[in-house]
Amino acid sequence: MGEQVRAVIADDHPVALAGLEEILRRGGIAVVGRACTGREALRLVQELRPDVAVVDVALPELSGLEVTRRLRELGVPVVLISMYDEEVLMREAAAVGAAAFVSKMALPQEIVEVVRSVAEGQILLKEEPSPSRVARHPSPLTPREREVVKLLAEGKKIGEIAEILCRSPATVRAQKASAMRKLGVHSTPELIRRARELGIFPP
Amino acid sequence: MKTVLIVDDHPLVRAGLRELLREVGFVVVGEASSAGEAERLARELRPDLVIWDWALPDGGREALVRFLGAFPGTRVLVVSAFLGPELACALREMGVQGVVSKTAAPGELLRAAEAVARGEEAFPEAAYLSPREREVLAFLGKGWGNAEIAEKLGISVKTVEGHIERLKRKLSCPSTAALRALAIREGVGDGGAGSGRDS
Repeated sequence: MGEQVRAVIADDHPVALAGLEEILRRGGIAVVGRACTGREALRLVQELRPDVAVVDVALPELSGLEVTRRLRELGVPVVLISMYDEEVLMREAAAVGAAAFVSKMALPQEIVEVVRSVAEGQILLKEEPSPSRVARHPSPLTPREREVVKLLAEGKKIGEIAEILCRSPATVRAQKASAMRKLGVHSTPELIRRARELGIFPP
Repeated sequence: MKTVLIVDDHPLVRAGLRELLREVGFVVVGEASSAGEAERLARELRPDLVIWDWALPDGGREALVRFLGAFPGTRVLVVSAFLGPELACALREMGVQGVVSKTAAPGELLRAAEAVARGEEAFPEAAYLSPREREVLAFLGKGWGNAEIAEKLGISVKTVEGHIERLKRKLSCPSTAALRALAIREGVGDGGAGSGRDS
């Protein structure tokens, strides 16, 4: 039996952090450090030198992507995790040098396998996601729905959006409702925040 | 020993809830990843407490109201990543026993779970806004002044000021400016969760 894999984990949601620790622990991976912010994650990794860092994309203070960029310089491989399974995010993750990207929707054993592979030096993310990978994780919003969400984020009302896009208010409302359903949200502010986290438009 | 059913579509979050609840002595009898599955499991397991994720793919107001109607004796604690005053109020009116933010510290979450399991309510202060207070908050978010709000609602400026004082206290905002910022941030009156209105 080889040495146990040592991981530092970072997530600002305490429940998700507890879940991640539990899943990895059961999978035989030692969680040596837990962080709730990007800065803390960076500090812990520098101090503890784990085999792998598992980092949430949406961390406060220093985003998961920024943490990944810096950890890459330290030579510690990163598995980025996110609430959202999105092609855009996966491409971002690859661009900053993450070794893997995994959705929080993934099954526990899948998360464990990815973390273990990355700790062993594998790189599961290529700079450009392969077509099959993209096909398996289609982007949830249509271009039209994205337009509506983007305008909502700019503070526009349904009537204004309808005018800008030359559609009826009923169509805009339907597209908004459809976007909300797809992203699993139930209010306009949630829709905007989630769309931002998904990188549908810049914050 | 209180039995719990966890309803959340993220396996990772379920694992976290399971572990935290188990540590304080709850017995997690089931886990569901959708509202539909939750109904099936609740019928079978009759849990004392249900922890319900507000952002289920098949969730939302209708699913929760249906669940509450189907299991009137079951106590429900909602967990939400986004917890503004409108959602907190709407959930309380729907008949759940508590709501807690997904970003809450484990201790806070567990205190809420224990309170709800004991038969108490566990809501933030923001869940106890009156309809009038919510209206005033929405107008503040739109940048209206006290006199304009008073005229619009057909009440005196003094009454508006009274509402604003109560809002500051309930929402822990030190100033009217902070209330305005909160109303904008949370999209109060802008088709916020549960209001049923469109923006």
